[in-house]
Amino acid sequence: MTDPAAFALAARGLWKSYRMGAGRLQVLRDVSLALRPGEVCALMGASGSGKSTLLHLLGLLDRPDRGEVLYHGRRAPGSPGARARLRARSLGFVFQQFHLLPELNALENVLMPRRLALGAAWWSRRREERARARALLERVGLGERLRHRPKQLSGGEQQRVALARAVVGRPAVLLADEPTGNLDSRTGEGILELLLELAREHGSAVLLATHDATIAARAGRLLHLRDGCLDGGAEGAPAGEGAAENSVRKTPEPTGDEGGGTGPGAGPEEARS
Amino acid sequence: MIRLALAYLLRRPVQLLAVLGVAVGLTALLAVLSVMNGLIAADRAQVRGPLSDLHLVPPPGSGVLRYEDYRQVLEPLPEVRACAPHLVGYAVLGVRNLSGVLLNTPRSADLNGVQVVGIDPEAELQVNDFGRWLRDARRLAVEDPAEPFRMPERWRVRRYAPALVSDRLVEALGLRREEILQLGALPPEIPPPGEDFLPHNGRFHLLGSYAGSDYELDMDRILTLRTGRNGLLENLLAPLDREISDFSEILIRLEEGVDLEQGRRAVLAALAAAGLPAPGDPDHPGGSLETWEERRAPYLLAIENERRVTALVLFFIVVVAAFGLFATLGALVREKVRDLGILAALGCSPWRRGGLLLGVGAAGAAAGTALGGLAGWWLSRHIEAVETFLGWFGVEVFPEGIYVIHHLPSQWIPEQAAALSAATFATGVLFTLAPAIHAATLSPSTALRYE
Repeated sequence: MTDPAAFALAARGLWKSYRMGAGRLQVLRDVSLALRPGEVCALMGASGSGKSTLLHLLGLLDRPDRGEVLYHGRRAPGSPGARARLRARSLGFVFQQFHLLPELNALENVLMPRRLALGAAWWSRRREERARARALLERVGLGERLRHRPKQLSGGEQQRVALARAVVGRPAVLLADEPTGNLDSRTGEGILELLLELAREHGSAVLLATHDATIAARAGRLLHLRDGCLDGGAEGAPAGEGAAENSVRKTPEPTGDEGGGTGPGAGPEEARS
Repeated sequence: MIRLALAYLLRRPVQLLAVLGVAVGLTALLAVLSVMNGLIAADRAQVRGPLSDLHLVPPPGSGVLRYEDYRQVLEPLPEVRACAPHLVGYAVLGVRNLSGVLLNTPRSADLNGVQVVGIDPEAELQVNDFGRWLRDARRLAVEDPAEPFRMPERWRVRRYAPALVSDRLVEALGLRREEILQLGALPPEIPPPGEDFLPHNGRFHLLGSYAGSDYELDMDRILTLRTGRNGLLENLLAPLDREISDFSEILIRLEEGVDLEQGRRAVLAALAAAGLPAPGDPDHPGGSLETWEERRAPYLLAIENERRVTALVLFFIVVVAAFGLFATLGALVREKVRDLGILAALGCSPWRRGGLLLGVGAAGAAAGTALGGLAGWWLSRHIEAVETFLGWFGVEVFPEGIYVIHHLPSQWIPEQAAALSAATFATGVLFTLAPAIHAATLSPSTALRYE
């Protein structure tokens, strides 16, 4: 049994269903998984298989019917405020539809998670935070587009802003939900490269939901979600309900340089707080 | 978040419309209330009419009282600026030829029951609006308002006592200057049963008219001198040289800044110390020392109530306008559901999401209140512009014939405006609570999936 604190993110026995008319639709059944710091993991499944639901549960955007989510071995808090704080400090999201705030420009979008995470401390750290956000946008090739609003940017540019926003707080875990799904293949490839690079630079573990096998092949580990059940998620997972039931399957090929390390990496201090 | 709140507020025209709605509502409320305040102030002056600050009526049955005794006690008081006596009698007024009028014909237009008030003109000018009334007379203005009862030398006949009546009575009876008014007064005492009840007649020269302000009172009142050879006392009330009091009541004008109650206490204490009959004297029950507001209480309370009702009705307009904030913020939450989900994913707590919406609403309410407050203040200062504007459409807000005012009045009361502005802002914020709570309690997962 592995020490739960060794994992950046872990889930034990997650069940989730939604009310559908008079009945309920069971989306996730006894899902367990664990993600080491710096590990890149692909979550595959057909459309509607529950990938986004699982990401939302892991990202503390939704609550499971049963089961629990752990960050660095600690159970995720129950209060909405504490969950929001944990999201701000330890999590980064990349969405298929970019989800930038249309009223804010690129720089303001990237700064938003830092404003939320720092609260009142923002005012004393705003200069360095701005400089860091600018550097990140330059890093993703948008140094000249700082003041542009999302509608003034192409899809690929918007997703690059979203990537910068996701890593600006050096999150312990990056949750990416079909990050290339709305982009053409060439742009998508570039975005994926960038995502993996940034995650490696910031030491973030990545859980990448996709239904594209070529993208999944870039990950160090592959998880399959079928009929609400997960194959390959419980490798080394902390003991708990359902953990023993899930089989473990490593991806057959290494991910290469840009795939990110599959081994443990140093998680950011603030993510562990 | 402030940046986002401002963007939500400024980049959505419908949001600005709601702000404008609040501003217009508050402007209307403040402007109309300033007019109502002005009307009340004008009405108070009109209603006050011939009244002074305090009116002293000694207890009945106190024996023969002399005004001079009271004057010597009252005038030295630091609270009292001036006092003046009124001697009141009641009579039947017959115009032109009283002997030819049938007294038992109640529908006769030639007969009027009137109150004949004897005054000391110099003192009267010190205690109420008598001087202004004389100057404002529109029918038979006297030559010299400072000496209203002085008969012009050129008059052919000058043997009767002088009298003044209101413009309205001049109009109603078609009176002319110099006309002789005949008054039939009751005898000084009621004769024994079986003896004839003979009225005493007196004749008066109509010297002029005054403006007046109280329709009922103006139609029933004749002013004349109180004492002296041509005074009411000698000419009508005491024809048999019987000893009677030379005043009915005393009007007391207080110094500026002296509270009516404070003045009343000082007057009562001084009269008690001097041993003069006054209200509250256990040996002489009855009598009164009333403030002018007490004498006009029903009317004053009625117009005050009118202002309250108007304020209430108009505040509903503000509430409706504030409902616009609720509606637009509700729409904003629906429109920005996904943004709220994004913010949640970035680590925005429910409190802060609610605070964002509350901030938008509060900023809108504050902007609307500030705009409305400024516009209301400006309008109250330039109310004649409104009057002119409404005049183009043939609208007369307060017809002169009804309200006896020549211009739209206006009075800005800062405390009132501040209270209403605060209430408007609070109402606006209150209406943003529901959308804010909705934003706070949105499930982030549901919000992110929202299409």
